Amino acid sequence: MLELLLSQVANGLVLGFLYVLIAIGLSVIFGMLGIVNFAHGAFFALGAYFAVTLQQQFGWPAVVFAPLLAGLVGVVVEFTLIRRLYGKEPLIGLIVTFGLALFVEAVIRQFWGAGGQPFSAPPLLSGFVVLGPVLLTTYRLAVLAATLVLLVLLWAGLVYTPFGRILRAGSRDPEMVGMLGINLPRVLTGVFGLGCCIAGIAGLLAAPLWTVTPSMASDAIMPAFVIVTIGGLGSYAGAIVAGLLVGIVTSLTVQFKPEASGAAMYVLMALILLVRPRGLFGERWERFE
Amino acid sequence: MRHSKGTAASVAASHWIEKTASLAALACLLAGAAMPAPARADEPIRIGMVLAKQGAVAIHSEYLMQGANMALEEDGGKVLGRPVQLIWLDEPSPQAAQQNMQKLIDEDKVVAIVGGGTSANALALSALANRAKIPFIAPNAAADELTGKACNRYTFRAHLPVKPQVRAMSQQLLTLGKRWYFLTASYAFGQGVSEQFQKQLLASGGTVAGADAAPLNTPDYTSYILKIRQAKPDVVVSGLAGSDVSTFLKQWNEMGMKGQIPIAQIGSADSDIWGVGPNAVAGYYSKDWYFNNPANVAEDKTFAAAYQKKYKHPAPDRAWTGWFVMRSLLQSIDQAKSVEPAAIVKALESWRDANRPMPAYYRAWDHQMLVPILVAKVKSKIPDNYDFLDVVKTLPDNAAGLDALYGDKADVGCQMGAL
Repeated sequence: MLELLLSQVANGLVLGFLYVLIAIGLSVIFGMLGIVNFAHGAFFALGAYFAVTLQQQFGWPAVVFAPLLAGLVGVVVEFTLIRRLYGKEPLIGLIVTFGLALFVEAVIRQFWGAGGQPFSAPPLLSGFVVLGPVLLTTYRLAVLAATLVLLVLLWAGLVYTPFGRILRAGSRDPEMVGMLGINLPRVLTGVFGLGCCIAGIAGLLAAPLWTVTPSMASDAIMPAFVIVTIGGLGSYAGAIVAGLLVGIVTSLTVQFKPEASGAAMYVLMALILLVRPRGLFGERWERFE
Repeated sequence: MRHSKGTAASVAASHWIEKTASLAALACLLAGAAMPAPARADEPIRIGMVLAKQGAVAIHSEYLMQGANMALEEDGGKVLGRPVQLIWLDEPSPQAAQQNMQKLIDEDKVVAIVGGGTSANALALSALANRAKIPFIAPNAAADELTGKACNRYTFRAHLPVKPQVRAMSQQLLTLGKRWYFLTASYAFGQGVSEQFQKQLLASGGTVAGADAAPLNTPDYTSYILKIRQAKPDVVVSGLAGSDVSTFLKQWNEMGMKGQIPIAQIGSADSDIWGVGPNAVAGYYSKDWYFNNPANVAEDKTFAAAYQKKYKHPAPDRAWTGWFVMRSLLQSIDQAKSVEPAAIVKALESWRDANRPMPAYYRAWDHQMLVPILVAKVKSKIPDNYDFLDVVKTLPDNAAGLDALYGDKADVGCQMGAL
């Protein structure tokens, strides 16, 4: 039993990292732009669908362009739609992006059809590793590695590059940043595109694991919201810790009471919010006080 | 002519004629409105299709409609000399499905309804069909009670229910071993699968190695697979729904379990299996029709060829169902020589497709369409993205066994009312 528990916890950690990847883009967008992006799952799905098509047409190396395409769509969406929502009440952003999510799902169904698209991991990453009682598949280890690299790069980008500094300053005080002569709107477009690109990366990496159907958008958005809420809206570290926590709790619930595994993360969220309403690492943002 | 030459009598007479004429005109107008206008030869016969346009079952609806339209084209799009029109409305929820069905009845004056992509919707539509007294055929719902406890005279079902599939599949699985693990979806269908298979297993002296109920749309089954791996059963009975089957099989393959333990799944459509992809697909499936079954009768082969030509890929089972159901409806209307609900119902009850070794028909006392059940297994070498299956067994062996396979009156529990 202990061995199986260990196995489940390890599995939960790996699952958690995938959830972190899905949630981090949402956290970045909310933290930097103040927009609750309900269409995040739609960009996740776009990343997966672009990956399927690129792989079919051009082979495996071409799939790296899938998240870039998703990011590009994000840039266009920001330019036409999202930038009108800055500074407005968060609820409006939620409703508009919810409508966007439904629209994108319908577009996907129109272009690619309503059925599932077959998509498996490249043969290079097939197989699994057994470390004592713990079984981990090669592909998931690759996803784990990719997620860690991405998280480190993102953090470094936010902290050490001029772009990151402008971004963090701009989310605190956009007026001051504008007065310093920096073209903030362009930076914000870049951020939204980046968030969507990260969602696309998550979609690309999850596509061989999950089923590629138009409804995969909704399967991704709910865990993302729960994780961002538990971790604290806008908190980078919070998203990571919360993602891992959700992964482990879900896995252990499957071991003991599988029917409740879907509800487990919501129960966790409720418990944490009861004790700490702003989430584990949530900060107080002036504009929302 | 001089109009002024009017005596009092002629003025009164013309006044009276005017009055009568206008009264007569009024009477004709009212009579015309009150009496239903006799159907002109070009007035279309409308059939309502209440099938999902979005969500997990949308792909089934697409294929059902394709098949239905192909059946229409075969008759030149006409029946009883009148053109047939299919009107397709969505079914986002049971209540909305009923609303759309009501709309089709009231506004479009449909003569019959085909629909109910999910069992929940089908049960709701069936109840409304009984109230509104309109023939209803369910081509995609597997819940036993649709033609069981909740049956009614106006509802027909042309889809394999859960219990007969379980009976057919169990016979195959018992040859593989007697320790079974159950991984089912946590809702009515999955619970039904688990319950029925366990009944068959325990009756044959088998044991339950484990039973897990997974929520619908679970994205990650690795934790479940770890448990199954630990339990080492002879067979895994999967009662998952829709694309969850695909997710599970992909992850099963990923963890190296493909080919280690046989998996059995009932109620999967070809589109669910195709979505898995040739790498990961595995297991036994129960079906009512498969495009590449060598035992297909001539008219089925013709249909499959026509579909392939039109849509450039093999015919999925749902397309065949749509075609077969629409044919049964059109042939029944033709035989009844009428579009009255009672006449269509009676015609459906006596409809038969005798062009096959085991004639297909709607059983009189529960309106379940009886067709043989195929048990198919995934090929060891898969040639393309569609031809995954070999039919390993067809049940029953002969027409006499059909009735028993689908259950007797006591087992099914249908008490049908009057028309």
